[in-house]
This record gives sequence, structure tokens and C-alpha cells, in this order.
Amino acid sequence: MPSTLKFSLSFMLLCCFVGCQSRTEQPDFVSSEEVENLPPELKPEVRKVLREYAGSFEQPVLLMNDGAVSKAQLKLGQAVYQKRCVQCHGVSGDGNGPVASSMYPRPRDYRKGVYKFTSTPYGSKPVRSDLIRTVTNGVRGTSMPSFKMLPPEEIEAVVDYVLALTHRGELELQIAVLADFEEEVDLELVEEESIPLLKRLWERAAGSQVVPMSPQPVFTQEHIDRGREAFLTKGCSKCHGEDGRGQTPDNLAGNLKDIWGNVTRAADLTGGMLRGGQRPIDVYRRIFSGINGTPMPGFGNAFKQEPETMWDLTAYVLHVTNSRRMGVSHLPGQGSPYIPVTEETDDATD
Amino acid sequence: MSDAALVADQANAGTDETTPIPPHAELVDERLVLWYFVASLACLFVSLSGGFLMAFQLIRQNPLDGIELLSPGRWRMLHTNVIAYGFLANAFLGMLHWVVPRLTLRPVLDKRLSLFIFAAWQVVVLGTCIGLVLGHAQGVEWGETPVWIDPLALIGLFLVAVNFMTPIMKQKGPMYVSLWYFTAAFIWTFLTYAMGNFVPQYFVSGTSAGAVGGLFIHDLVGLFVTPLGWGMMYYFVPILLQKPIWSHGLSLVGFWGLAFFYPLQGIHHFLYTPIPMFLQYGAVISTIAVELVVTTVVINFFGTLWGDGKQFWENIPIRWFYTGMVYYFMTCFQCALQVTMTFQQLIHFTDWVVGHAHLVMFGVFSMWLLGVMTYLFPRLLKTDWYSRSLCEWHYWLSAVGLLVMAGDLTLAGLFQGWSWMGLVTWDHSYEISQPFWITRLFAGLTILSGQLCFLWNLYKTWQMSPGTTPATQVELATAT
Repeated sequence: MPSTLKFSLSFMLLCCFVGCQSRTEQPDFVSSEEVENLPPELKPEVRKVLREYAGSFEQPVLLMNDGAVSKAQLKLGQAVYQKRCVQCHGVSGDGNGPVASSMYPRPRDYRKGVYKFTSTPYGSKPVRSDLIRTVTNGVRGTSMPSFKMLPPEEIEAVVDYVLALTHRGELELQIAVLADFEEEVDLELVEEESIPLLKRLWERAAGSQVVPMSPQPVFTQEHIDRGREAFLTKGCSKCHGEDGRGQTPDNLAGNLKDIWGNVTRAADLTGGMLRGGQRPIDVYRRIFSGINGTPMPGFGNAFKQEPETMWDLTAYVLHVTNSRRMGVSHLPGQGSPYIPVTEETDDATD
Repeated sequence: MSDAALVADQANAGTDETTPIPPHAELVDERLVLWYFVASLACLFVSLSGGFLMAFQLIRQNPLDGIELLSPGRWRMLHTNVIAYGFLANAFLGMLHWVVPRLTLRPVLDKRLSLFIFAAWQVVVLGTCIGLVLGHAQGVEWGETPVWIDPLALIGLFLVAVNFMTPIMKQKGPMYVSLWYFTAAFIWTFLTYAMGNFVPQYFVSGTSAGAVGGLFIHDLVGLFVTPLGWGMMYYFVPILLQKPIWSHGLSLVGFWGLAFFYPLQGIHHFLYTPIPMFLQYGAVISTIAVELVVTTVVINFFGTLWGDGKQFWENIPIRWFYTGMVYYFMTCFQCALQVTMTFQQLIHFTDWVVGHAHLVMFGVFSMWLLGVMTYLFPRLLKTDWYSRSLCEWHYWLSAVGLLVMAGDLTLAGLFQGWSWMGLVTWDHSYEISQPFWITRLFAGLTILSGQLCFLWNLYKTWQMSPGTTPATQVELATAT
């Protein structure tokens, strides 16, 4: 009898202790806005189909898996993601983690399948190495840090998991749009149209990295001077301003939006923090392909006839970017807050 | 005792010459001194383990990763608070119970009050620890003590002041400089604590609260720890060297210089903030002025040592004291540099600051207190140290470990500052810090092993102490 008593007492103690520790509930994927807006009878159906193809939180599935990514790899990726990414990017990769609301720019919402800093042409999906680069180096000038010090296999795994979340989100959107249109969930359509469409898009991106039209020269003052000329005449200064600081009235007005619905503006190039990367090829690709999801267009086609100008512009942008490092101090701008102060945002900071 | 001459000086100055000097046992409650020292050493180890967890966390090897109650942010606060209120305050209180009665030739106000204060202070320290671990910290740096403890701590500080000020107030004629320092510390600590913990919490906010917080951080060093530390040095160094202090005049210059310049310094923690520029410049100037004052004090002590250089090598407590003074001069010299606007730009928020804090808190005040303990424990336990070579190890491991740690963090701070100034991403500074942080861990291990030597030595000494041997055993031992 006493041993039973002892056992039950220690069990109760253990329960108390466990109760103290488990303050966070089991995480789970949440449905996108599009699914939430469907008629009530369709929602469970959509969720069921989605779970079938893209797995659940307990058993994540990489939708377009050519067999290279094992279950264990995805589980490792999920563990890394839950430890280091979820705070900003959210459990389902919707960029709505607990701290996301206090960030500008907002964390990436993977579910649209749109990535800003890719090595592929405008409008294309990224390639896997783009995501690895972003995770490894971080995104300068934003809250996305570098994870250079993680073991390479963890970076690989977390990228696979991010891709799984991305594909899940893309498919979710496809099914939701279909379901909204057809007023039912047609498995055949999902199987024969939605998934092949996504596959095509991602496969196409894999073979379409932007390669410079001419070899990279050694940058000299002449390149910079010609680059400044092009910057002023070819449209760059329209948004970025003549000094590259984005101090144009249009840009400061805060009317530009990205596809995630956030206020955005042309970058202050003198900030020394080019988000897409600091290497010449990164700058070249930004000018060539633009930035997905934002008003920054690609200039690749415009310079088809004068490929050298692309490098001139690159040289000039790098020059402007490094100006502060070279000791140039710029006058204070008339910068207005990125997120206009409204009653709502004011409350949020209290 | 070798301090008879000094005591006699005080006696002549203060009391009727015919009054006999009361015996030591009537003045000093040795048991209480011992308890305070034991409590402070216990706190030292809690704080050291906090430092270790942080060091492991920074090199990404935290063994307790994922446990909320023991998360690095809370340990960090425990590390700083337990050093201030657990280790330093306890050790200082123990020291005061020895020094003040012997210097004034009067016991403290009430021995029962002393016991009560001892118990109450341990409750305050323990309450702070528990509060911090549970996440009840107050948003004031170094004043993270949960708000519900603040009034208790303040009452404690008041009682301490009353208990010790009673014998000091009865002094007639000129007071020895140690008593000046102690008197100042009792008043200032009470006021500083009240200012830092209540003003930003209940009365002002925003930049003003920041300014008050800055004053608090630095006044805790300058108006609580520093005067007690120097008062202690002015008492023990002449006794150990068996000669008077080099210049009593200069000692008062040091005291009044500190009193005049130190209270204004704190704002220098917040240069380049919206705090009015006259306050920022005032803080800069007063900080540099303190360096001049410090120089007079250090000259005074080295003047006292002059001609007795071999004592530095032979007398371990003297070595602790003078090493601390060399580190004190270094840290104040750092102060005078780092407080300038130009320098701040580079080193603000970097590990330079962490190195500086360790240099002053461990390199100076902990060194002095450990020296005092090395001197007093044999007297309290009525036996010589178990092992002199362990005392040597304690000194060398602490002194060298600290020097490596401070130098390493200072360098790390410069590299981090340059990294940020180079407008590269923040992660870059983190990456280049790794070798420094690994070195810091080993420096910390060196310091810890020094303290373990001390602890072992103390344990063995305690076992030898006749005071702790039960009476029957003594009888048996003498019978055979």
C-alpha cells in the first residue's frame, strides 16, 4: 500500500511539474485567409485534401519530392525551423510569427511561393541554392540574420522544410481558388492541373539562372561615371532619387505596396545594406531581374543592346553603397516612418 | 594586534585618555563576520556559475538550453545582482563588523539588530534570486531586484546605516578617513538604491528614467562599492604594513574629490541619446576628473608601500590589495578614455564594456575582499591557513585569469566596434567574437579554479580550527 501511495504522490508531483513547464501548446499549421473565406462546408474538405498531399505538422511532406529528401531530413528541418525560424516566420510559414508584427520589413510569407532575392529571372521561382544563400548570409538591413554558424546539414534540412511549407502554401491557394470557383473540391483537377502547374513552374526556374550578358570587367572610375550617367537617364533615379537615397516625394509618400500588402519603398542605396547581397553578381541580378513581389522592375531586356551598361550600373550602385564606408557622410534625409503612425500602430507599441 | 598603534591614535583623538581600550571580544562579533563571509562566498559561486552559463551560451554550448527558468537572460541578471548584493554586500558587511568597532572602539548599536540584519539581508538576496529566476525582474539595469523586494532592501540598508553610524557618530575630534568613506557609503547607498529603484519605476519615464537609470548604475559602483572598498584599504593597508598612511591630507583630497565628481558620472552610459547635451558633457568631464582624483589615491597608497616593496611578494593580503589597486588605476584610466564621445562611438554596446565591468568588479573589489578574507579567516578561525601554497594558487589563478579575461574582452570590444563601424551586418561581429568568447570561457575557468582552491583551503583550515572542534574532542585530544 505505501508504495502505491508513494507512486501516486510522486506521479501527482510529476504532473504538477509537467503542468508548470508546458506553457506552449502543440504547434500546428493554420489555414490561409483564402481557405478561411470559403463556405463552411468546403473548409474541412480542403484541409483534408491538403493534408493528403502536403502532410500535417506531425508528418510533413515535401510535395515535389524527387526522392532526394528523406523523411528524417524533413523532420530535422522542422526541428531547426521550430527552434530558429518560427518566431518570425510562423508555424505554417505565413510570416506571422509571434514577433512579426514589430518588424519592418515583415518576415517572408512563404505560402505565395514568391521570393525576392533569387538568381532567376523576374517572376520566376527561386532555385534551392538561392534559399541556402539567404539562410546562410541573412538579408542585410532586415531582421533576417545570418545562420552561417549552423552546421551545413541543418541549413540544407531547414531549406527543404521551407520548400515543403512553400509548396504546401502554394497548393493550399490553388485548391482554395478551385474550390471557390467550382464550389466543390475536385480531386481530379488538383491531381491533373494544380500540382503539374506548380511542378512546371519550379522545374522551369531550376534551369533559368541569370547569367551576365557580358563578362564582369574590373571596375574603374570610368565604369562608375558611365553608371551614374545611366542611373540618371535610364529610370533608376525616378524612384531611387538622383543621389540614390530614395528621397523622392513619390517614394516617401508611402503609396507603394508589395504583393504581401505591406508598404514598401525604393531602397536607400547609400545605406550600405543591399538586401539582395553585396557581390557584383547580386547587384547585377537585381538590376537585371528586378525584385519579385515589389515594384522594382527588371531592366535586363532594356539593356539587351548595351550589355556593358549593366556592369556600369552595378559599379555605380556598389560605389554609392560603399560611400559611407569610404567616409562620405550624407545629409539627413526627410525620411518618414516606413509604417505610418496610426492609432492602431500607436496602440501596438504601448 | 598590529593595528594597536592606529587604534590608539583613534582612541586618543576620540575618547578620554584614561579610558581603557575595550577588549576585542567586546567590540567584534566574530561569529557574525564569519557568517557574512560564508554567505558571501556562497553567493560568489552562484554568480560565477551564472557567468559560466553565459559564457557557454555565447559559444553556443549552453547545457541548459530550452529551460525557461534557467534561460540566459535570467542567469545574466542573477550573475550581476548576486555579485552586487550577495557577494560584495555580504563581504563588506562582514568586514564592517570587524573594522568599525575596532576603529571607533565602540561596538555596533545592537548585536541583536546585527543578527536580524544578517538574516534579513540573506532573505533579500534569496528573494532577489528567486524573483529573477521566476522572471519578476524590474526593468532597471543592475536594479532588476523585483519591485516587491525593493522596500525591504531599503529598510535593510537603513538599519545597516543606523547600526554602524551609532558608534561612528560618537566619535569626537578628527575622524580617520576610513570612517569618512564608510559614513558616506551608508548615506549614499541608501539614497542611490531609493533613486534607482523607485524613481524610474513610479515617478519619471522615458529619457528621464534612462538618465536616472544611468546615474543609478554608476552610483552603485561609485557610491556604494567604491567608498566601502577604499575605506577598507585605508584601514587594512597601514595595519598590514605596520606604518601610517603616506599622507592623511591626500587621503582627504581623494575622499572629497570622489564625493564631488562621482555622483554626476552616470549619464556617461547614455552618450549620444536624447538626454540634454550639457548633462552628457558634464558626465564626460566629471568622469575624467575622477581619474585625476583616483591618481591621488593611488599615489598615496604607493607612497605608503614605498620602501616596503618586498612585502608585495611576501604578504599575500598586501599583494591582493596592491594588485587590486593596479587594476583600479587601469580601469579608471579606461574610464577616462572610453567616456569621450569619440571613443564611445566605437565601443558602445561592445564587449569592451563587459571587460571593463569585470576589471572593476572582480579585478578591484573582489580582489580586495578576497585579500581581506585571506587576512581575516585565520584570525576568525584561530589557526593559520592550512596551506600557504593554496593561497598562492588562489591569488595567481584569480589575478591572471582576470587579466586574460579583461584583456580578451577589451580586444573583442574593439573588433566588434570596428565591425559595426564598417557597416557590415551584425552577424559578422558575432562571428569574429567567437575566438574571444572561447578564450573568455577559459579565463573564467581559471578564475573559478582559483576560487575552488580557496574553498578547499578554507575547508581544511576550518577543520583545523579549535573553535569548531567540539569540546569533548579537545579534552580527549589533550588527555591522550
